Amino acid sequence: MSEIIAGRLWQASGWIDGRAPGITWLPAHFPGRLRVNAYALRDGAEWIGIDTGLPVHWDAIREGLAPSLAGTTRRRLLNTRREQDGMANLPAMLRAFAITEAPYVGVLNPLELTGVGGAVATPRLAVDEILAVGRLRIQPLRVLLRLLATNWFFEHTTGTLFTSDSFGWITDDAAADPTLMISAKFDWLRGIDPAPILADLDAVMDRPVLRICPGQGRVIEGADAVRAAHATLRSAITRLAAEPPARWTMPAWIKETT
Amino acid sequence: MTGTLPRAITPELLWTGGCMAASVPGMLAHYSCYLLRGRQGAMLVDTGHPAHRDQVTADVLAFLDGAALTHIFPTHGELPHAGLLAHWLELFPQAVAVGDMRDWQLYLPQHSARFRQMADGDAVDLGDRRITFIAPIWRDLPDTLWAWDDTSRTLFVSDACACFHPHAPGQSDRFTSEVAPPDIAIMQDFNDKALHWPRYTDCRESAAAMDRLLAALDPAFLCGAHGAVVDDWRRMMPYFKAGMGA
Repeated sequence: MSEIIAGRLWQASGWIDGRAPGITWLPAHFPGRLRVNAYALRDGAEWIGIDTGLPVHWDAIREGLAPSLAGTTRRRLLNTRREQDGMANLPAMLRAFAITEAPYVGVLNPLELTGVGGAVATPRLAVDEILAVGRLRIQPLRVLLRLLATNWFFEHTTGTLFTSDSFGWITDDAAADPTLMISAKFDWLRGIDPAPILADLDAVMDRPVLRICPGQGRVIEGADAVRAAHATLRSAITRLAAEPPARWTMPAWIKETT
Repeated sequence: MTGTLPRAITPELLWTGGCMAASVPGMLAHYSCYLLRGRQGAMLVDTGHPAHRDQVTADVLAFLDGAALTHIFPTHGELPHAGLLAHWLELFPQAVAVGDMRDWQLYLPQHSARFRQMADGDAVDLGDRRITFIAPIWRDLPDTLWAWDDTSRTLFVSDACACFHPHAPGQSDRFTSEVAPPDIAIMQDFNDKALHWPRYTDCRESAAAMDRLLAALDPAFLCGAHGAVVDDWRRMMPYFKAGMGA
């Protein structure tokens, strides 16, 4: 567990070894150990978790975030994506942390997706609608650099941007090739005109971001580092877009008609 | 036909699942799964949406009629398609999960021994039918696989060929030949939300690949997760391609 901002922002992680057998949303090889993260913010008695990490890491996630709960009475959970690396621990986290609200942006209710019953409220948020957590202010942002519906969250008071499955190329041991890292999941970028994606990224980053908290990888701390990471991601998107798209080939076992 | 799921597409192929409110007001979206029965086993294609667990479980058990579910194929790891995998593995302790299972050691580590990795061209033999896995042409998550059942001539296409249907009651179990053609603007809306990438990519080549694949297989049915079962692909493909912007 890392206390990123004392008394305010925590990170809990499990690690995926880059030498391990393949994960479909990561490239086949990358240097070192990659964090998969859950975060928590609190102000006074109010607490909110952002993403849940992976079930295989649940013990570490639970132990990492538990200290952040002390003295809180209103507990909520947000998810950046409805994919398992970001929300598969949702049922366990709701129970373990006595979370009573799971706000969501978009159409799909996270409790319905995980089959969780019970008395957890699921208020629906609009994109850009500010969610107050004590004095903290969390704003959902929709981004074009995505596969499934994805929300980044910007917390105004701390200047923290939660970026889900982007900005995750920094492992605990080295920085992986950013183009390689985004290619595993965002392979649709190959062969496209990246201008709309870059413009959208620039608009999202045109904020006083002091740190980036990605769903995978290390926290990027400080305005200078954030600017550098933004530039790096822009370059990676541009390079990937310059590559030819993959082409589907007819399986050998299918006899093609003429 | 009752107007609601389940519906037996063939005597050995069941269509079940449920409908939920879609992003377009007044419209519903299917969250479908399919059950194939063979002489030596049965395969569930997609697990059903967790919100429909009780109904899907009842439908599957009724169709199995005492036989065992032997294979569960989540077409990819997104929860509406795969969120009940643990449920089925616990209900049928001898069943295995098949598909692109590389990520599942992270999601259900307690069941890792029951995952069987499949790739394009691999197959499952259920005795009197063979289900072969195919790399998808249109998909969202990178762990997606399609599958072809040679006996029913059914191509399972996961998120492809999706469309909503009107809220009017009695339409959830219709084939495409039994309902009005889909609204292309609404299909584009769904694809924008679910697939996203068609807005930025030139889909003409992938549309041509679909033409080649369907011409080669000549399926009797296209079974996707989100829409009516397609029983007339030649009539419907222009709509699906238009929905992709091709």
